[in-house]
Amino acid sequence: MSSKKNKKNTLRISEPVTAGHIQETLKRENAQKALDQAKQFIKDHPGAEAELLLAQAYQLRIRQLHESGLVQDAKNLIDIAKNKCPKHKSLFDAIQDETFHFPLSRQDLSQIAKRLHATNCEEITKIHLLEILKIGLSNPALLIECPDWPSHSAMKQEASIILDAFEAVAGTFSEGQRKQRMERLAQVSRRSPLAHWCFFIRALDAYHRADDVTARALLARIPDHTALAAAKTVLSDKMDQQLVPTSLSSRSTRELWKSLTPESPRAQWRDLAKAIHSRQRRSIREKTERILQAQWISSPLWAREVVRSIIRVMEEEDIHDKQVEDLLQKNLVRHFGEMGSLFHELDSIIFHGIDFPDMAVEDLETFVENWKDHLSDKEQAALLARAALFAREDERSYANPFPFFFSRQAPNHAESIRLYKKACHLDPLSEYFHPLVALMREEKRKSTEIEKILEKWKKASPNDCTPLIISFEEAESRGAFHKSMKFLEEAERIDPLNPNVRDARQRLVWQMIQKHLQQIKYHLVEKDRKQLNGFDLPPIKRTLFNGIDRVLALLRHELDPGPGESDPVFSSILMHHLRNHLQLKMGSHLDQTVPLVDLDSGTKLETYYNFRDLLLSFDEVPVLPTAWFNRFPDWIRNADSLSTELLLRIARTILINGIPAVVVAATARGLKDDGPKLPEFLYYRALALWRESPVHELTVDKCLRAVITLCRKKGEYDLERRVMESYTSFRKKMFDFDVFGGESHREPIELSEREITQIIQRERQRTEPKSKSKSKKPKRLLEVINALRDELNIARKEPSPSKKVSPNQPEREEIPLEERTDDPQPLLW
Amino acid sequence: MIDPYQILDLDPNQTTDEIVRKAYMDAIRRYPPDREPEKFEQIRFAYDQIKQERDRMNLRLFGLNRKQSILEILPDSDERPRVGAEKWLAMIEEEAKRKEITNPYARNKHESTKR
Repeated sequence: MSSKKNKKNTLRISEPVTAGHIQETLKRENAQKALDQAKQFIKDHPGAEAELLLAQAYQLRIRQLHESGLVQDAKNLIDIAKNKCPKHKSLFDAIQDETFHFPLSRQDLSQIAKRLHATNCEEITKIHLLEILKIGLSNPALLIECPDWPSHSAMKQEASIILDAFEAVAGTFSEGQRKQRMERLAQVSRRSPLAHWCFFIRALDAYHRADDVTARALLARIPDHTALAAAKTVLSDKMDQQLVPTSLSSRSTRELWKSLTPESPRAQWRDLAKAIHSRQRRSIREKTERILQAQWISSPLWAREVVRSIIRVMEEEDIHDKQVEDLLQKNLVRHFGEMGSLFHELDSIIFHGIDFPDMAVEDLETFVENWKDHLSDKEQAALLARAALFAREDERSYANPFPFFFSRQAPNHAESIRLYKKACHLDPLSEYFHPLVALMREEKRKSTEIEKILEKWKKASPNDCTPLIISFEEAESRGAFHKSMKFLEEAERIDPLNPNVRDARQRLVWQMIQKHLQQIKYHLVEKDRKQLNGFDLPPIKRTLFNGIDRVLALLRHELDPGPGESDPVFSSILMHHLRNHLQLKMGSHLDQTVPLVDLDSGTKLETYYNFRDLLLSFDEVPVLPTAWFNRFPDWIRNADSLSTELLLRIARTILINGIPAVVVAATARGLKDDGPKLPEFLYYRALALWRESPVHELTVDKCLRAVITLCRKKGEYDLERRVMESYTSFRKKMFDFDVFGGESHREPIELSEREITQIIQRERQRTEPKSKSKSKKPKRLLEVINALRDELNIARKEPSPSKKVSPNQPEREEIPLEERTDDPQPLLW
Repeated sequence: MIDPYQILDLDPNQTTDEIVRKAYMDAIRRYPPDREPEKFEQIRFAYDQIKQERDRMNLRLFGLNRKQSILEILPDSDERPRVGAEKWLAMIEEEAKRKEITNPYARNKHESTKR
């Protein structure tokens, strides 16, 4: 009020004020005048009456302020009035109830708390206050944080339970924690003013579980006149998939409304992947930005995985967009700081290297050089090793219509070796020595060079016996047995129980035995045998070394001591192998006393293949008469019962220079069984046919494609991968000169059910290789035509009578040149 | 959740082989394979990613060593995503202010409740 008005009033109140004047003023509802008069009256006539009149004047003034919208002034005046007129607090409490606005503020809650917990709080007042709390509370946290609310109060505890449950339901808690917190809601009394919050929390949980029926039923139990009812509307709209309400006041509120129901992570990813595949750059940018801001990316690692996946998909589609790359980089920088740029560049190089490994080699080395201040030595070594892996990769085979223009170079092993050396120099304790040495041996580098690396390895890892084993193998391969013995002894000192060390000892003993047998130093052979006394040998090795006793007896021309502990079949094969391999002078005595057995049963065949596998573990092969090997297909065909496992072992020999005829016989039996291993048998059959000369391209092609189709149907992805590699290699070799990449890039690989059945039936009937019945100098054109006729089920055209091949020609003439004599040669199978 | 450090509740900057092993043993005691097979699998995956220093280094340089595509490891899409209590409470407050909630004890019940 202006000072002039105050002066006027002061002039008028110079007359003595009576109670009647004040009551009159109150009746006329002139609150300010009544208040001034009451203040004057209480000064002149202090007492109960004056106090009552003052209280009434304050009451009127407060009410008028409230009605004018000056709510805060009204509330402040209530506090003043209560101080001035303590005996009439109840008058002001009633007004205060009228002045509460919803949702309740912190100040309101403080007032409510003070009044509720006052000692003289009347029951009716409590009821009013609790009702106000029920209607007006919009956030349980406000109640919990209110200092005027006692911590032991039941309502504060209920608010705490409700808030915990709310956080668990609305946030990314584990299922167990969520359940635990929701169970505690049962502790909230049904009569509590906060009880309706429990309905909302349960409704929200049902909503998130996509159980809209339950959610709606629970929402219906929330009273409409409460502040919480606002959430009811929002949740109902979300379930009805309503758009953002236009009534929302501001942009930020609208954004908040939208953010309550983000897209699911998988939906977001699918959208982005679709945009990338459709190559719409604007859409890619928008969706990338959205996914990078998603709530579910809850840690830097998540962010990195998402960014890596985006880079990968874009590389697969060969899309390069600077804006998207910047977005990705900025996102990583946000999570990792400066390292974010490093990770972004590294991931880009690695994913680009999947299709262009030769570029990745160079890029990675440059990357390491540029970022070496941010990378430890071990990390630099790891990256160089990764580059070395890229350098070793084979040429990628993909649907490239212009193989001549885009083919990359063959694996660059020299580069790989150089990078591994660098990695080992940076991190001597790493595992990179192993691939380095393996690669150097594969590349047949000089032994002095390999020895230098092995020395470094030994120095870096003195307790690792692996370099010693490799040194042992190197020395052994050069025939330097004494040197190899030193390495072995050192390895045995470090780790006597290491299986590789024990195998090396057995291998050395075997080599020594053979050497001493050749040198006719039988006493040394006995000494060598004794080295393995006390060794816990597997049965097959025990049989091998025990068989040496029988060999010695025969060499000393002793009477045949019998097989002893040895298996007689094994013993027979061993003796004949040693005689042929070492050129031992056993002569006809061996053939009479221990003839080379026929492998006419499953057990005998298994014994032979065990022997073979054992020799392969010593890097040797059986050396037995060719004529004996030539009977394998018949034995396989006529053996009583052969397990699938044994047939597969025989078929797999094709992978390491096995004889096609044997594999064809084994796979014929395998295909007839029609068991779960049928695709594998068909695969080995295809490889056997591929080994023939001439190759029947169509047959091999169809067989491999049939296997791929079967693998895909049965979900045998490991086998499918191997077969695809063979198939790709086969197509490349067969159609290497076809500029347009051949049929493989036009027709689908998979065959129909009918075609597969035909192929299997045909291959079941084939028990010997196609080339077996042909003459030594076939007419190629006629052969090709007849092969095509076979494929197309057209009757063959027979050759003219003068050139007919006799089926009764002696076996010797049909045997290929390299297998012509009976002299035993090491057949590498 | 795919972050191995989060799964085992570890600080990436203060981790040794021993600390990781201890966290792993504690975790599998809380979630044994017969009672919580899915959680156990997650814990096992996490342990394999960071059990040795070299593994942690590879994780840092090359990201997760995983065979599944990103789609297979993204959170399940059957549930509607949860955004946190804070946003819901903010929305409730906004809507409650916008909506006119009547004070049943106001002298004139038709009064506006604007502040």
